[in-house]
Amino acid sequence: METGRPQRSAEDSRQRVATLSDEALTASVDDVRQAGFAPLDPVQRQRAWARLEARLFERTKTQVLLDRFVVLDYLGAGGQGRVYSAFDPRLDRKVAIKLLLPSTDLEAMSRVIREARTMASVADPNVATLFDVGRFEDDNGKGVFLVLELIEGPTLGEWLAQRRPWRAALAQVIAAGRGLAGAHAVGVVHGDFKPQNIMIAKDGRPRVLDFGLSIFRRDMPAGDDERTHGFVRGTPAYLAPEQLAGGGASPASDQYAFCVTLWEALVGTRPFSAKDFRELAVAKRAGPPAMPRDSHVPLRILELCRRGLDPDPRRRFSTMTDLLTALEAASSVHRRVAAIALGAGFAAAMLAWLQHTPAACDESANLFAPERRAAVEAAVVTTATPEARVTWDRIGPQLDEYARAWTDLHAQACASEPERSDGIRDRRMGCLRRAERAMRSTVDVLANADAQLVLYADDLVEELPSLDACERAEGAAVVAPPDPMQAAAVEAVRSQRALATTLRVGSELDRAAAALAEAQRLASGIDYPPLAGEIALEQGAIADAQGRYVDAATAWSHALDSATSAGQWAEASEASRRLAFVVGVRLAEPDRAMVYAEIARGLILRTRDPAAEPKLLSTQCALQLQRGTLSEARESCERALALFEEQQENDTSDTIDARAALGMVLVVQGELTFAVELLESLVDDFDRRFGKRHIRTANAHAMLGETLRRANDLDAAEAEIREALATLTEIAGPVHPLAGQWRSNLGAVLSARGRREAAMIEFREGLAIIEQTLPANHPHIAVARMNVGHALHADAKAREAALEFGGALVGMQSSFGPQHPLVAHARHNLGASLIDMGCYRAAEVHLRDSLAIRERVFGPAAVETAFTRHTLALSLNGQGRREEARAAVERGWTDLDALLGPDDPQVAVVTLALGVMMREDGDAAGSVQRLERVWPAQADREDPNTRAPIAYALALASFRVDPSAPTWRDFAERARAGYREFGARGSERLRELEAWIEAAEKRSPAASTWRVPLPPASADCPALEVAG
Amino acid sequence: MASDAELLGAWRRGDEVAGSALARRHFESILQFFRTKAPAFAEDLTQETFLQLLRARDQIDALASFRAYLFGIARHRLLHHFRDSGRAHDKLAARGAEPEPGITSPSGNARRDERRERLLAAMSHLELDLRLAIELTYWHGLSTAEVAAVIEVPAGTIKSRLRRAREQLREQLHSQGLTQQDTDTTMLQLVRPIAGD
Repeated sequence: METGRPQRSAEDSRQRVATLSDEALTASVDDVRQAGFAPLDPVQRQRAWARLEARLFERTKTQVLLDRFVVLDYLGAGGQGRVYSAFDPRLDRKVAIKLLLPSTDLEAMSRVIREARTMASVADPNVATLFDVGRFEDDNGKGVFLVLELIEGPTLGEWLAQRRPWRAALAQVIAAGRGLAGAHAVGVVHGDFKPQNIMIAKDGRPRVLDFGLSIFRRDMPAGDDERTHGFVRGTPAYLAPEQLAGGGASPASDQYAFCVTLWEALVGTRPFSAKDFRELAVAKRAGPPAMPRDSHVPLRILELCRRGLDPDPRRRFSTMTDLLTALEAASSVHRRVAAIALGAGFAAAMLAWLQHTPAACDESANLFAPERRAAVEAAVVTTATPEARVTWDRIGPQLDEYARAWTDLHAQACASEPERSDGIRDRRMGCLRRAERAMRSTVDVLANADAQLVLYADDLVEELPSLDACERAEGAAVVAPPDPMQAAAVEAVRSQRALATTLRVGSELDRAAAALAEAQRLASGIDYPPLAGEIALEQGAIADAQGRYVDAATAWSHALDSATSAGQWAEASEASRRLAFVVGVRLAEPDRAMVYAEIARGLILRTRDPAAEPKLLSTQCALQLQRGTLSEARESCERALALFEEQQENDTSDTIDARAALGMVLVVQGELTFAVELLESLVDDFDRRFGKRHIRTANAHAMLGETLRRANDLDAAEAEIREALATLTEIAGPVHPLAGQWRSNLGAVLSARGRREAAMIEFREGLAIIEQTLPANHPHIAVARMNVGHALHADAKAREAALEFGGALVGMQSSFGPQHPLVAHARHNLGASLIDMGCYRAAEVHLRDSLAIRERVFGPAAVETAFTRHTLALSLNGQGRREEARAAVERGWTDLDALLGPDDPQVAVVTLALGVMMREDGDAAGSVQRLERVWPAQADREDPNTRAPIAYALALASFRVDPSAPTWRDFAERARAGYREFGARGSERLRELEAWIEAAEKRSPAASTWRVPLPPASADCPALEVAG
Repeated sequence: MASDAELLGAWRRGDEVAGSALARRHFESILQFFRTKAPAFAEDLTQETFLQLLRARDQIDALASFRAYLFGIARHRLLHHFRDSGRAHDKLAARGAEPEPGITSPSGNARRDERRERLLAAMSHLELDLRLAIELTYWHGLSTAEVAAVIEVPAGTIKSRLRRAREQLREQLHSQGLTQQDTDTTMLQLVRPIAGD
């Protein structure tokens, strides 16, 4: 016998048993009731009793009742309860009843009830409808039962067992996945998704069962004699690794289970097999399975599946919907309305369109009849620009195809049974009517197009609603107006609204507003709730296009409310998304906007429109950029673009937004090369698709130019913007709102290159164009005025600059409200100009306001804030409040230097001020030290604006330090050269400098105490307006 | 509340309502008795037990315990069943050939369910009468005298049988590789009040 471990002897074990006496055992009763038996559920008990009684007393069996339900047959047992079929006499239908047994864990029970109630509110076609939740009580305790839709049919597992083609299997599993997504949308997680929990009903549609009941499950792994550590609920084959490790269920783990199911359905075998629990866990943690070698299933689909099987839940898809969208796209289950080659026009009988009543089923609808087609072609082509023909060649076939596809769908819908209880036909018809209205108004508008409108022809065609949505027949049920008279009136309103949309997309904002006003007027006499949301949605869009962002937000907010109450999910989804953008980006309140983004995300699931997802992601990207969470922004944008690409929407205006946003993110992240590449590829794409002479191509060039400017490649930036302007002038003439913007941008580039006069011309002309082409308070006007103001300020024309800034300020406040960062910017600039004018007191007021806003929006240590603090200091300095000023300048310098480093021009400006103060306060050496630090970067700059004064300050300071060293002379020379470059406006300074040099040569004492005078306090200052 | 004897008497005199009440009172215990050892046949065996009771009803002498009598019938039914189906001793694992999925309650009771399963598995290795002694004592709450009547042994031997049964159970549980503590905890599963108390 080995030492160490004593063997157990029978004697020992008897001893141990003896120590636990009867009394001890009896006495130590634990609080668990019914430890011995698996308890019977009351239905089981009743049925057994009913059978016994019948047999014993030779009677017919009494009915077993549960609440009001008559229990019929035992259907089977799941992991958490037995299921019976039953009859509901009140609603006269058969149902399924699942009993859950009582528990001492009241919290878990309440949770199940809560989730059941939530699930009951989800009428999802792919979820077994939960009708009711009931409680029962019998002499053995209380329990809960669920009343469910009775589904007669096989489980998915059984269905799959008869070899199915992979496409069919995929479609079924995807449909089941939609049920899952629907539940996630209301916050319920399944926890035990698997083929046995999906049933294929008689109508062929899969239904997912047993949401949230996973807490009741206790399926031990088959054949496992080992002890399980922790307690695992659910069927191990389908559980995610984090669940196997004891973690709870989550949407990500549902996704995992979904992918296991999908894999099984497509490949025919389970993705992971193991002989016991532990091995299974190890296999799953090692990663997704290898691709099967001989499968007919396209690899790209299996690849998506594998992502869902990633052991790290964060690397799976963010949501089920993302996964489902990707799957559908990958399997081309989706049909796109593809543009076909030049084809014949559409020949058919006469149409009802003249009266603008929707095509009924007994008439043949003709959306694009030959005469209309000819009219549009004529209108487009006779604008007589070279690209007109090309435009027509592009949009003509697209319109043909749209009309054709619409007619097919319409015919199909008309042919289908009218009385399907799930309303598919109604939804399809409603959708088709909407498409019809849009097509008609587009054709009408195009048939009367002028050259300006033809520029937007592609936008108009893109704006046509997707026919895929009609085919899918998803979305809210259509509530038809009750009587035919009202129906006609509603139709008229909607046609006007469609017209307004078309005009807006064609950039005819005034006419659009008029059309919508007419729609509004017509609608006011009708009591049909859905109209309110539809009209408000368009109102928001028009206001947004006109730059009236506050109005747009109000309108969209109304739209969201109305649409939500009326169950119009598509409209609500769009309203919330647009709201998120306008509030978050335009009005610069990203936190408030996040709420709307969340709402939009929830609503997307309701609409089940795959096209909505990338648009929302794009919006989220912009919001995240606004908030500064750059990596999130980047990810959102990249995902949006990936989805657009999958949906083959590579060159629509939505993609432009996403790419532009991504470009901006990259710029802010400092990835300038990528940003430039991205925008360059955008230019290429548009060039290829639309040709050089198209507004989108020009726009792409302009965006590229802007990116290059930020990347400081000023040569290339100038070239791109000039290219954009040239194209635009050719196709649209010189007076176009975009021309105004781009000229302003060009001015900024020229200004950075030091070409002041050229810059000023561009700024002024840009402003003039914008004022001419946009409504009075449009924010672009204010921005353009700011640019002009900048240029004037740099030209030392402080008074004129102040006027521009003041005007810009008024505009900004009216567009954005008093707390907007652009308002802060305007006030800052105004303050700076006022300082130059010697209006220190007025400057202080504006600068304090600006500082408050910037501190709040950007934080106390951000660049903008620091710079404003610095400028405020200068206003204090001018009032003689030297100590305050000095302290503020020091602080500003500290912040900016830390943020930007000594080579940044802003740091140079701040250092200059600080250096001067230090010298004046007696610390010449310190002054030299600070200034020398920023000098090298400034020395090489084209622009003398900062270079000259710094050289001057260095000359003065070095002289103070050591008059005999030659340093001061070098600096003085540089200063002199710099001021000469100023030309006329530098002459005064130059004279002053010369005078000082003379004094310095003579070593006169004045040279040491020399101060560059500040602008004297002026008596002629603009009236102070109360800030905020 | 009428006693078993009263109900039985009334039933013998033709009162079916009383008979029904008596059967109802005990039927679940009998059902559970069979469910732990022959789950697939539990209902049938239960019905047979009561039918047998009906047949013998009029011949019953004064009973010390109706319950014991009834369980006695049940035990005979079970033995017949095993003989007929070729099993000398029911060694089915706790989950049985046709598992009745344990309708469990969530979270905290999960461990208990695990332990119960282990216990039942261990019990299935016991000699039938020893097993019955355990079940009848701890789960059905029969008195020593009643248990003795059911398994047809002298009353004084019950205590030692119980001891032996527990010993064997411990051996069984040990051989499954449980620690001492787990064994103790599992053994505690034996003790509980009867359903409905």
